[in-house]
Amino acid sequence: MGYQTPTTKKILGDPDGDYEQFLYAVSHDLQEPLRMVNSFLKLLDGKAGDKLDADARKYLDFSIENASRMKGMIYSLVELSRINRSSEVASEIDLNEVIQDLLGMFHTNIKSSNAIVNSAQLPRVNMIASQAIDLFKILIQNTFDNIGPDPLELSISSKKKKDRVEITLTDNGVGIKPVYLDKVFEMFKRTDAKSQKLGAGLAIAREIIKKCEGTIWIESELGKGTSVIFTLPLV
Amino acid sequence: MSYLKTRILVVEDNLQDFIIFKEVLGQIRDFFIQIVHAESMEMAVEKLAEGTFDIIFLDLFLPDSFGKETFQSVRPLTVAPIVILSGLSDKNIALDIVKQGAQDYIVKGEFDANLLDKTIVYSIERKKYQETLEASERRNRTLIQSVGTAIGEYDYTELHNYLEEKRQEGVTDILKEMDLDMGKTALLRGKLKLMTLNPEALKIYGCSSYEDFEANRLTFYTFQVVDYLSQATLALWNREKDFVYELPFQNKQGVLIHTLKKWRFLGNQDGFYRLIISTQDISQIKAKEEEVYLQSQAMESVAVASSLLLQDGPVEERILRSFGMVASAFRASKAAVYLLDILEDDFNFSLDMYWDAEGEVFPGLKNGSIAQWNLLPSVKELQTGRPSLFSKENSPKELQKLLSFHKLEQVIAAPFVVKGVGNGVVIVGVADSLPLHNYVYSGLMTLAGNIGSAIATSNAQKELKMINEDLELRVDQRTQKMRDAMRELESFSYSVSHDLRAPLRAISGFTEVLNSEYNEKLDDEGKRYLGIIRKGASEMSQLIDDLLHFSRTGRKRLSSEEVEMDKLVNQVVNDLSAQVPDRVLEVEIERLPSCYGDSNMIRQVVVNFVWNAIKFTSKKDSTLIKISAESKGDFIAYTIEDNGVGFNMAYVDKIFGVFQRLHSQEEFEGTGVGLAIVQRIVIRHGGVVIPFGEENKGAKFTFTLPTNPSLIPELEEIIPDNLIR
Repeated sequence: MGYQTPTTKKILGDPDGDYEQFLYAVSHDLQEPLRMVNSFLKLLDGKAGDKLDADARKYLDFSIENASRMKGMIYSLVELSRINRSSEVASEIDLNEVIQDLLGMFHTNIKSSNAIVNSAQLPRVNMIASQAIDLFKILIQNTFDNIGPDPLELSISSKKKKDRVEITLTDNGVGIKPVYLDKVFEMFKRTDAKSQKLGAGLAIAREIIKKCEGTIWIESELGKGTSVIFTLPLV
Repeated sequence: MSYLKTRILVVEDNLQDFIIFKEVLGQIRDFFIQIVHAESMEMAVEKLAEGTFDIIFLDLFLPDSFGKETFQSVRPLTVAPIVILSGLSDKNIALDIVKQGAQDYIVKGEFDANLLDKTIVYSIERKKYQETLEASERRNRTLIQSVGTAIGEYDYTELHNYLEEKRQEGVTDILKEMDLDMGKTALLRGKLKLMTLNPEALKIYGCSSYEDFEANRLTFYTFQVVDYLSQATLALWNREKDFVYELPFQNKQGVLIHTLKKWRFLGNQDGFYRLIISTQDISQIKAKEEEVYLQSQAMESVAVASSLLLQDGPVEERILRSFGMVASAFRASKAAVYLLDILEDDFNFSLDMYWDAEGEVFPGLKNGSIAQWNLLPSVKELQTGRPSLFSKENSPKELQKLLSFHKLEQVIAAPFVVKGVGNGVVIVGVADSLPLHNYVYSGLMTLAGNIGSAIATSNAQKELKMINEDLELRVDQRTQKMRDAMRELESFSYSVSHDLRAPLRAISGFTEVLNSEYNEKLDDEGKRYLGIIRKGASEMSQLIDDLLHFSRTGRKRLSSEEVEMDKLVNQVVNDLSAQVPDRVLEVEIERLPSCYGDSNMIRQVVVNFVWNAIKFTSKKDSTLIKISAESKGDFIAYTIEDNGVGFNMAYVDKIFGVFQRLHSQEEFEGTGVGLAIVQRIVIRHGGVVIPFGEENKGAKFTFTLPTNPSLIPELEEIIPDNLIR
């Protein structure tokens, strides 16, 4: 029987490990040729751009545009793969500080769109600092990307649930069609095909929440607004 | 013996009769006789008061006294023998009176000197003898009265005569003849005349006096008396001297007493058939016997109960059955089991069950607080493990009330320990106040201990079951999680690949157009740039294809058919050699046995290994590839060896990792997905891949494949294996 030692892990692969490997492979193995493609497209553009006619110019621009888009996608995948590969350790995070820092970052957006952001007192949670910032950054960015006809009103609140806290971000934006509610967390899924966005934000947000053994979901009414709700471990 | 001084009183109212009597008496010359005459009862009494007489001749019909009365009046006045002087007419009376104690009688006018002489002598002698007898009897009685054993003296003359009569009639089966029942037994008992009963006997019967006994004797006996008397009669019928019988009866106070009755038939003595019955109180012996019996029964019940406790089924049911059984063996009327949470000095029940000899519930115990009962021993006492007794007498009022309510006289509480849970107590209530035997305590201790371990075992089993269920659940969850993860990974990789392909397609497409339509507008450098861009795009495209391919391999269902490896390997080698026409490949292929599996997948394996061998020998001057096979039980081990760059065995565990490469892409083209896919395929067939490498000398891969389709593990089947962490 010495030769017949199939272990499930080997057969199916360790799903987490495979996932990691996949992400890592994609990010690294694709990055290399993509970097080549990107840099030589730019070199080509600089060298021969003016020699091309309108059509060829358009083709080159499309190629550059797509290569750049692909770069963005790969970058998102790298980000995604980093979430679980991070060597940082979870620590006590004051979410109020995180929100304050981010509101400073989004200062111009808030001012230009006359947005109102209300954040209730938030508890201290246990997570990786950079991921906490990424998470809230993604979610706040999403609300600015989906502003409805009225100026943005965003409220952030929290509710204690045993050893976890449930945090809710509610906006008065365009809302999401019910059919998309599950899809939005998938990588590169966009609700609007024409959008320039990569559709990676919520996938990364979900990965961060997953890393904290929490859950994230969305409640939304088209045209009225969206609530993103997720749980984080308390200190 | 001399009768010279014989004094005779003659009570006779008829002077002529007296003279005749005197004349006849005078003819007796042998002894000196002094005759005193009394003509009436009054005179007789007078004479008897004046002096003693050796013999009295008494006419029953006196002017102041008649018949039996006369005799009864004289009798107490003297100890002398009385001979009745009778006329013919009252011969019957005279006989009757002899029966009552007169010595003899003579008929007037019919006696002579000789007869009279004999009558006098015999009467006196008989009387003297009687007196001695009576004296000895008195002594006898005193003896009977004074011995420590209960003795009754009976006259069984009537019974004897009855039996002799029956014998004369030719009866052989006396018991059948008598056909005794309760009623007839009373009659039979009538044939036994109780003569005396000693104080010891009175004590046994719980009577203060003989009269007391006589008044109550019918109430003493149980139905067993029928058998008792039958057997006694049979013993007498069989002319046995002794008869022994164990007879229980209820004494006057209602106490059941076990006695050993010994009958001794003494035969005809002193004119009657004498029977001595000794009665020995064996209640204590009996009680001891009973105790031993009960003890063995109780111990047996404890043993049976303990085995009940070990059986299958809900532990509550087992406990209820087992302690109910023990409680009844202990003659308890109520019993209960509690599992206690000890809180300081107080208790809470977590399990309680109760049993009742009458099948009733046990409401007080069930609903009440045990602390309120004040029934339980303290924590300290509980920990000693010894049972405690609470009797009604020495209990606090509250407990007394509860005991009364439950009609209990005493209660024993036997504590037990449930490992890992806490303490419990078995309570057994008894309705009487009789002292409880030691075996009750020891039996309860054993039972309590067994109940404790039964609960502990049951808890452990429950826990184990829970752990098992939990484990199964965890395996299920893990399997499910794994499947979900696989599905997720597949869909993720598919979706990502698909999403990545969109811009890539655009890049490839537009650069292709640029290349074909605007190539002449580009200088050499521009053309080179475009070439690099297109190569990069194609590389990415290949990588994404490999990714998709890889993610699908693990979940693809295998087809199973015979794979002719000879044919397959030769084909692959030919195909791949054709792709490197500029190289000289030396390929040695031994005879390769067939195996079973998915031929498309196995082809991929072979392609991968052969292509690797071609790839990693490209930097060598000559290429040598050797493919061989060996049978290993149910599997065929195929080996492919090359003389290429090989690898460092230190990194051997890395070579199957997805996208892992031991050599740079610049050095050797490839995505690094190949070996990972190969290993997946081989393992899916139940085989293994064994790599061996030596840097700059070459690589050797052995992979095994089954010779029988049944050896291919089912995907579902192997999932739970190795999942238990």
